[in-house]
Amino acid sequence: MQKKMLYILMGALLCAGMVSTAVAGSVDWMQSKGTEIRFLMNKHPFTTYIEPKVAEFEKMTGIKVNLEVFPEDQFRNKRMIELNAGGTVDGYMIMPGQAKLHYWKAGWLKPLDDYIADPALTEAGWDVKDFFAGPMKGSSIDGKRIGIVINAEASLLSYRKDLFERFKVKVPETMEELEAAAKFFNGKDVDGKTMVGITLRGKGAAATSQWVDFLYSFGGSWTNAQGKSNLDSPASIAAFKFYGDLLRNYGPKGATMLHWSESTSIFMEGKAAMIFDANVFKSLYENPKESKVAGKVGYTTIPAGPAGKVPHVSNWSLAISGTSTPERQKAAWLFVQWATNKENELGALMAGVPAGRASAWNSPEYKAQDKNPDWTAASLKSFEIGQPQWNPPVLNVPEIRDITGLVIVDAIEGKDVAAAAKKAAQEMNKKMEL
Amino acid sequence: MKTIAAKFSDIIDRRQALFYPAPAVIALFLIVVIPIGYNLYLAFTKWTIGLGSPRFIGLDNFIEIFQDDRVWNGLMVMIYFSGLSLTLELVLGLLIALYFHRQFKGSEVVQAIYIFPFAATPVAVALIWRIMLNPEIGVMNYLLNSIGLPGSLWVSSAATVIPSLVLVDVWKWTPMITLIVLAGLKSLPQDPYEAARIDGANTLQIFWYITLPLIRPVLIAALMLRSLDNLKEFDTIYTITQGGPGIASETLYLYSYNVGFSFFKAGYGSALMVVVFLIVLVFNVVMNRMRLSAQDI
Amino acid sequence: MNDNHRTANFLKTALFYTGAILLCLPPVFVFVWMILTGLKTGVQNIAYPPQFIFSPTLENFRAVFEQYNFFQYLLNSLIVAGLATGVSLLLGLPAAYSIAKYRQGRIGILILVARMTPFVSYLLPWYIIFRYLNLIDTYTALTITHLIITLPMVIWLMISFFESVPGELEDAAMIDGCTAFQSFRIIVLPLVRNGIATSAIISFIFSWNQFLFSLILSGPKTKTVPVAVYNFISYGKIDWAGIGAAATLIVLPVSVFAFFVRKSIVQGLTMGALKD
Repeated sequence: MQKKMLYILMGALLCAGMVSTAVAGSVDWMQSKGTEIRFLMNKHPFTTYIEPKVAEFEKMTGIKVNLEVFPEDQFRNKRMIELNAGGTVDGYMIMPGQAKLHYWKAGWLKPLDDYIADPALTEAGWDVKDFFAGPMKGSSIDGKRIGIVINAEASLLSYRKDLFERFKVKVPETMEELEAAAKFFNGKDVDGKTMVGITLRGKGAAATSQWVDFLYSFGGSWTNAQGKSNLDSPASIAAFKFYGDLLRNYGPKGATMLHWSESTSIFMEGKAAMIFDANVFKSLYENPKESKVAGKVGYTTIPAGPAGKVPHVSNWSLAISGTSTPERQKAAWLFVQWATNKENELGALMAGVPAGRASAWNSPEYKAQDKNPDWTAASLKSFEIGQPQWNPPVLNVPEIRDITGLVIVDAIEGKDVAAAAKKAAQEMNKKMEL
Repeated sequence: MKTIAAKFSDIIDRRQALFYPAPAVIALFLIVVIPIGYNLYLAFTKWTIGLGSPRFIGLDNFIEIFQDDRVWNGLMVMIYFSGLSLTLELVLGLLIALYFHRQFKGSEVVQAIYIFPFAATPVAVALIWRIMLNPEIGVMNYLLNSIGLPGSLWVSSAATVIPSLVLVDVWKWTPMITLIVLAGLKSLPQDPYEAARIDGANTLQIFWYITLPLIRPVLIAALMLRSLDNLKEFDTIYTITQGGPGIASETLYLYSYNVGFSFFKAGYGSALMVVVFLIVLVFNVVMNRMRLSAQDI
Repeated sequence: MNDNHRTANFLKTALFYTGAILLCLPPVFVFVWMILTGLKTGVQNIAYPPQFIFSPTLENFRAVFEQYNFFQYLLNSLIVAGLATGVSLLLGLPAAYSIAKYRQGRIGILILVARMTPFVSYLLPWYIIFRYLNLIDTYTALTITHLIITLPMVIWLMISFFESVPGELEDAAMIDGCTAFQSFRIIVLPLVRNGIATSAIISFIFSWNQFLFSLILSGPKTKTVPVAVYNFISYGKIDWAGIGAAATLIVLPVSVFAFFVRKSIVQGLTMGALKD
């Protein structure tokens, strides 16, 4: 009899525990029941993680969520055309460092601070302070939060642990060592393959996201104290030159067309000793179905340049459309809050997405199954020292990136970098909008 | 006594020339003219998509076009790409058609194979070409190496990107031109050939003095059909290179897309699109003159 | 002497067929490679040297249907291409007939202008208009935009077919008491049924393959297959195996279709080219 009572009590406790993750606290999750909302999503590992779980949210809230997923280039264009027409988009993924100034001025971003402060709309346990400070700053503008970080990205130097050990090469700590290691491996025949030293993005505008870490670490910057282009400063030119030389001398053939997909493919085929790209791609390298180097990769932060180690830290956030109606915006906030709660960010991290919450990274669940502690350490270190302003501080980011990308292409092709940088600086001064 | 419906159909009958084209014309007017008008209006404005409304700036955009390096680059790329691909498609199409212009077992099979590239979805095959042309892991370099030729950088080098894109375009469209010319060859009159043979003309002379002049209208018409799409090639270039490396394959059309949608400068982008439209228009007017004069001969 | 002649003939034939096979290789190879790409795993697809012999997997094809609702996309493409073709015929046949009969060259120019306009310039205004009409993500909107390609095509092709119909036939029909509409419907249309089939087929193929308009104006309910194939490009990688499988599934139906009606396609395009 007593035993039975105990079971009942335990059962009740268990149920209470299960329910509490969903509806603990002050928020009435059913308050927007019957509302239908539409989110535009980039085809990103976070989307892959959250998509199958949306049904749970729909059941819990009675809100119908339509996620529409597109690859990045198509996603950006479609997002802009739809928001311009003032339409049916209620929320979307955004890389604030890329688009926030434009979208903010256009009125396409809804400030989220009022939602966060309202206990009827936001659970106390949701804890906004749990998000990494750098990325969260990146998702703010004019002192207002306009997005909630789902994924913090920093670029890491990923290298073939097995080969570095076999040939007793030191893992690069400085730019000189990076070049030496790339030189050492380039052209070496390893297991029947002719290696390249390193692979990096080389394709114009797309390459700027990785090149910027070299720019900062060489002491360069996008703009000077007067707000004019600084692309032609000696430090910036040195960064262009180092990056271009590295790719031309020790990189794959046809480096000016390397986008992430081409670059990661070469590394995953086992043809490159090193790759410098976003930490989120770890889940690709370590997936034996896609990659021949799974289990053989080591990770470290960017090597130090003349100005030290200055990586960038970018992020993807969920934002709410300023063009939507208050009713739907409220429902969209419930969705954003749920998608970025501790449980989901932890789940995303476990699935290989570098999540935006410190609690996820520090959790025992994550640490227990972490097969790449060096990746975790290097990522956390980069978040800590990283620059959240990684794109040119202008409104027309894509156009200035494009102009910058042309210099990178010239640098890879071994052309006169100083002249190209000077021309790009003039173009940037002419075209940039603030 | 006629019913109203009958009366109505009477009117339509009597005014056939007016009523028959009307629905199509109205439909086209609505779906074509309104966007074109909007586009023309934007071409004279400055407007960053989303920020305020378009501001009228007169001819400033068109003045900027003349000072913009990338416009000239885009024009050159366009001329290079279209000139090379259209020429190759016509010449190869004609030569291959002459090769197959005979009775042989399996002509059906050839026809069947040659219809495939035309029907294939451009973005899908362009993606397949993109992996085939990859200089590190693509099959094209493997094939070249296996017959003893050195590999190429294909679309990954400024020097070879246009010829590589031309290769894809030629692959897709030459078979179609071949089939058109083949049908044209079959419909040519036989008398001139018999007369020439009696006069003892050789194959080359027959081709040059008889076949070529006779088939010329077909060739020019095929060129016109092709140029409508070729000068505005988008799907293939966008999918394979997005205009790279650098801007080495950025046609004027692709540049106008980038300005309007990637850089969200709708005013300037629209002005560029107007220029693209004018180029296609002028090309077609000239070709049409040539075609008409070819038929007069 | 006779033997020599036969040998020479044989050699000539052999040479001809060798050349023919070489000329057929490029189209065939790309298709074979597309299918092979779809039958490989991710690792096999980035292997170098490329693998020609491997144990094929149908996993990608299964994944395409399971993960991406591909049947729905195929259905959407079928509906949009079908509607666009149907409406184009409905509007285009009378127009082409009238242009051919009454030599209305100016209307022909309007149609050409539609074909010459850079398609990109339609995107912004159309989105605004369709948004205003609440037609985003509907078959209606997609059909209307595809008309811009298919309607001029149908009219342009049909003009030449109508021109080849002798005017005396219609005159005779009128004398027999037919109204003009009856003579169009009963006498003329059956005479050009080949042409109707041809232009329907070509317009269907072009609509099926349309990418740009569908990208911007479709949504989850109406996404067509050329847009869906882009789903295999994701953050950091391109799923070549998935693209191979999806491309095969997109290209195959339309290619098989084209294979069966190839005579009509060639006839149609030739008519277009031979017209004056």
